[in-house]
Amino acid sequence: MFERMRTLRGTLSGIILAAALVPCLLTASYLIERFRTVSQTATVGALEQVAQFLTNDVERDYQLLFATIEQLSSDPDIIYAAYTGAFGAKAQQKLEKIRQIHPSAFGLLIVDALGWPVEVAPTSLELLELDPIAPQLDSFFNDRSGINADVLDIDHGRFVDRIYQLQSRDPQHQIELASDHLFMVLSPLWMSAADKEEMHELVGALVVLIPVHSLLQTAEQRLAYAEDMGISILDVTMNGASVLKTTLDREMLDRHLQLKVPLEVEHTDATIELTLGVERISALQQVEALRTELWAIVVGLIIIFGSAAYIGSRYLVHPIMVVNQLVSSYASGDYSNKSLKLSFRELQQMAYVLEQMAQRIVDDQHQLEQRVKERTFELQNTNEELRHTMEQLKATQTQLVEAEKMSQLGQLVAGVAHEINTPVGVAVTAATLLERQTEDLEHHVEEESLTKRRLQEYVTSTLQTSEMVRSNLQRAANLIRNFKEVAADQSSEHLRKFGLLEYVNSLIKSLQPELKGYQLDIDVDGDETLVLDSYPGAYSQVLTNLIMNSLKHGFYRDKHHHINICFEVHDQQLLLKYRDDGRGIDAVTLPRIFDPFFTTQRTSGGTGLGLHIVYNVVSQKLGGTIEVHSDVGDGVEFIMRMPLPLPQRHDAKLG
Amino acid sequence: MKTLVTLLVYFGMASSAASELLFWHQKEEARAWFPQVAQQYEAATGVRVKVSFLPTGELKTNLMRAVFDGNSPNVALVPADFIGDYRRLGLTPLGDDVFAEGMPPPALNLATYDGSRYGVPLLGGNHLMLFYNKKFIDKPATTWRDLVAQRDMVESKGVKLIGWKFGEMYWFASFLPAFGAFPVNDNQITLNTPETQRALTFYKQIADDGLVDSSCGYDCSFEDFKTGKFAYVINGDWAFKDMSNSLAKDFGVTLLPSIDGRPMKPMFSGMVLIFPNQDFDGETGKRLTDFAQYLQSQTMQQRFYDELGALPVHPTVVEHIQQSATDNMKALLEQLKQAKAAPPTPAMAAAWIGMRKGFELYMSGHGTVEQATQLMQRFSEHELKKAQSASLKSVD
Repeated sequence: MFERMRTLRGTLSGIILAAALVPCLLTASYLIERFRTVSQTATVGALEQVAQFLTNDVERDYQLLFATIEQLSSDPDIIYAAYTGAFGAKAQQKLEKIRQIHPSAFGLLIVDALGWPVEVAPTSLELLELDPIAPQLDSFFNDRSGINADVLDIDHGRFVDRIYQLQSRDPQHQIELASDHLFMVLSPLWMSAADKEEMHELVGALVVLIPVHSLLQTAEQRLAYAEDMGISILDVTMNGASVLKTTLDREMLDRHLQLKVPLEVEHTDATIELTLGVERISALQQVEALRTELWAIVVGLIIIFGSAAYIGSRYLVHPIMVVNQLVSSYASGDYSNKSLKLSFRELQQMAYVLEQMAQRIVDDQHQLEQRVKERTFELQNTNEELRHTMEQLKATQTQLVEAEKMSQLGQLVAGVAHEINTPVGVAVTAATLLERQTEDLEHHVEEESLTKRRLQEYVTSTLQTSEMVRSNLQRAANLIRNFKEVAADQSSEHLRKFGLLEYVNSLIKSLQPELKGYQLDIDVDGDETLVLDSYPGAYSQVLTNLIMNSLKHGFYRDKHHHINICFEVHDQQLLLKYRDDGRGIDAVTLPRIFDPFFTTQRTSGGTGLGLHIVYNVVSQKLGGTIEVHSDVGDGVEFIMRMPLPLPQRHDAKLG
Repeated sequence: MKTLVTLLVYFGMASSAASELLFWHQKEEARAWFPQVAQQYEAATGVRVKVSFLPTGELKTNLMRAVFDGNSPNVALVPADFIGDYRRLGLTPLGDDVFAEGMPPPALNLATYDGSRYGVPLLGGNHLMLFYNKKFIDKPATTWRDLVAQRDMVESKGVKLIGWKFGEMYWFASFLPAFGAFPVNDNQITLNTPETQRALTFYKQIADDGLVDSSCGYDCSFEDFKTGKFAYVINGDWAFKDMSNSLAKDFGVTLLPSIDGRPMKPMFSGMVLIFPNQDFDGETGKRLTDFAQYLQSQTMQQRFYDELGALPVHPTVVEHIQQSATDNMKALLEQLKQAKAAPPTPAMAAAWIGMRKGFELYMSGHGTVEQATQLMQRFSEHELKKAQSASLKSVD
């Protein structure tokens, strides 16, 4: 009953938890949001700073590189190496040194005036075919008017791939390059004739190959110090056009905080820009980490506070639970002294009061038990008296039933006696007449005055009189026989075989005296061949009572009535129906008609036992059932169902 | 103003040129000796000779730079194959008066290209041979197979088997003939050949096998050998005297081991005096002629041998040497006989450069042996082409 109700412990726990956590959560959420904003601003600031550093570093690197290139271009070993390979070894060493100092200078070549690479660094570039840059070299060497160092953008994916492929030593090795572009720095190598100062020869060019991929790598290495910020280079553009192979789409770019930084590169008018970015998620990683931390703390606090709330509420609620258990034990009848010791005064007082109440209950219970005992004793006595009275009543009922039966039988006897009296009286009268006629004949015989006519008259009268005597005496005999049968049956418990139809007709005949005075037709329908092995007396009692009941309670003497008795056998059951068209029985009375001593005509001498006897006989002696259907003005119908054969009764006497 | 300064410098140099000659050389073993000779010469002639030593490998480039810059020395003692770069070195054919009488033709040939003599032979040889330390080697190997077989024995004594200046082409070139290869033929480059490829492959293999350390510099074949770290070294006659003095009786000289029955043939080139950008007309030319004659004299030629251990070209001295040669010297001379002359041709000069390129490509693993010899060939040819058209063009 109480399963769906809230518990005090749970409510208390929830309140403690909520009171502890809600302020924390609200405050933390607010602070985190503020921190998020600050963090984003700081990230953008950091990004700008990093970008500035990066730009400065890259520009410085390239300034240094260009300065080195310029210096190198003035180095005699470099210049002479373009003129003659005799200087190649020294020049190559210097080129290698430059590569080590300037890693973004991926390849350095000394190209002679014929476009031939006389020295290269790294060595792998010995196999590099310079055809892709031949036009630029030709143009460089041909345009000698204002030749200076120049930076050219070479967009040739295969050339760039080849450079890296040669370096890897594995012809199959493919590096995923970020760009097909490379910046090519061309610096002229001028060699002066010793004896002709104003004459100088362009013997070659120092070529520095700076793949954008290596530029990116260098820049990304520079960004390593800001690795924890997650800054990456999103794009490199030259004059607004990206020089990277793959660029991020709009959606990806939008996921980044972006910053474009221009690069000042000497010897070129091209505008080179780096686009740096940091993923918003990374930028706010600290915030997210903090949020995750917050949730972890919240979870931890929930666990801690939850445990504390649980333990606290349990501690608080425990005495209440104890009191609850106390009440439950009292409710279950256990009033034993608990002597509870509880933590809180209020609850202790409550427990004390409950214990007092329990003690009172116990005391009252004892008193009650005592009184109950006394009353029980009284009740037992009363009960005994009642039982005795009941027995007496039962006995009386039985006597009355027997008396009724006897009364019925007496009625039957009275009726039969009345019936017999008539034919017997007629027979006596006829016999008396016959006696007189015979005496008269005797007189005449004596007087010898007997004539033939007088003898014929005497014979005819004697035959008539004899017939009258005989028929009336036969009638009387029949009545007596029928009565004997009915009376005998009614008064005896003998089981015998009898034809039901014939028996019922006989019974009706025996009741003729009773039936006189009514305008009544009794129809009996049923199988005339049906022979029952049963108690005919029982059937006699039943039908007699039913007929008598109809006469007494249902019929008007000044009205024509019908009684229909029919029977049939169905499924080893005898279905016996009795129906009359009398007054009928109202709904209030109907349920009680089988009650003993229930009658609606007590004042006119009704005993109220007739239908009770019918009920008993049908249900007990015949082992069947009886039901009644009636309505006011619609007669009454009794339907009786008796099992066939009749269930054996150990006390039955078989006929 | 610039012209005035130049003129002053010229007259200054001219006046100093009258009594001073600038002499460059690369002979490490003569670093202290040549100045002594110069002092003696000055004492005798009043002509001051300012001697400058430049390390091997830098002499040519410095000479060229000096020529380009217009401040070349008056005379330099160089390997004869420098003459292949005669244009860039500002060499002009020499007159007969600068040569000593009786200079043997083979010696003269060392300095002759295309019928012109561009240098004065002073020393012969300049070839590689196999030095060994008798402390570790009882019987020197005559074949590479024998050499390899001695490896475990040598290394068990705590020394390395053999060393040389692995990355230097002069040493690599000595392996070529064993495979039937040679960098040039007449004045043509002949590097892109299967024979050269085989030689390259063999050379790399012995380094990969750990027989020789590919990072070895000159010290491997000089100082480290003297201090007993190597059982064998491949070095040249220029180190003969120093080694003899250092190792004494433990010093042994033998022929370079043959490879699969084919002899290794080092190159020889001799040492010649060259006169970059020098005009032999005038006082300076006379001084130079005198100085050249002095160095070609029998006395000086003998001193070259006695004091430096260098092989002279003077026939008399050569004969004396042959007659009194020690076993080691005999081995040296025998190796010389089996050596191949490095022709003083532009092709040879170009070939040295081209060889280095292909060699480095192959050894670094960035190219196949075929790519290496192809690079050698075309680079050498390109260099040759440039050398043959080498002259400074004015730019208007």
